[in-house]
Amino acid sequence: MIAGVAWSNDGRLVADTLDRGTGTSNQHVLLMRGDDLSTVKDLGQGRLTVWAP
Amino acid sequence: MTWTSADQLLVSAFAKGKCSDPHTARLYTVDVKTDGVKAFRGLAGAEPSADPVSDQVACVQLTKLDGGSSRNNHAPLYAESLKLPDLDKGGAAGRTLASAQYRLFAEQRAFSQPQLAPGAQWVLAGETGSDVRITYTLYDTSDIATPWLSVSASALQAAAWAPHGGKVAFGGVAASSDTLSDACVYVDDVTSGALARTPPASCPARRPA
Repeated sequence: MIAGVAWSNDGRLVADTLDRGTGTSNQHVLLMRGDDLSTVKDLGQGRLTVWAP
Repeated sequence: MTWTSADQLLVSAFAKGKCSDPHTARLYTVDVKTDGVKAFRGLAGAEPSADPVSDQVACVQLTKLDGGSSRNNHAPLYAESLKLPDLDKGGAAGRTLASAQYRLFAEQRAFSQPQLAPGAQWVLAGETGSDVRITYTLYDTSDIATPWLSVSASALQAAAWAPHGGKVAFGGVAASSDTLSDACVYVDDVTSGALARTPPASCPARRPA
């Protein structure tokens, strides 16, 4: 499921995905353009804390 | 908590021993330069979201109306209001944008974690219940609370306004899916009303480690 979303100042969007499986917790960070969600790209495991200004 | 200016935060805090209970929350300002903390007009409120440009704040107020009885499993009756106080009007509690009454059960909320859009024309809030499910509703703040868009999702509450307003993003699952496996991100353009989502299966919940 999606656990968080955050915009950058230039209109990009990141989403934190969270999978709580049996005894596991798997988090990934997705990056996309806010005006074209088909550009979604998996940045790998992790969690976005904050965008750099 | 929310920034109201470069030097000031608006926070909600809870009565001692009632940690994280929004029903007991009150609003306070924190001056980050002096560490000064002051009650914000003595207002009860939780989950504030400010728009410093328009000097407005969205927050929720919860009032216990009765403690319940054996006829309703002792579930207390609460009134929950979505309020819009101005930052610069002393004494003003703000107008009530929407309100609801319910017998409290589990994690029930009517206007959870409201988020005020830049410009304060819109506010997004979530309705939650006893399961991991949320209904996002986008309200027009110009007069009375007009629900503009409602989307239900089996998801945690996760939403954010674009920095310059006009678009709001939130997490969910595809409308056609009845499982948690087809997670997606929605973006609503509040100017055109267009609702877009990430392509199916582009952000599955379960991925190989």
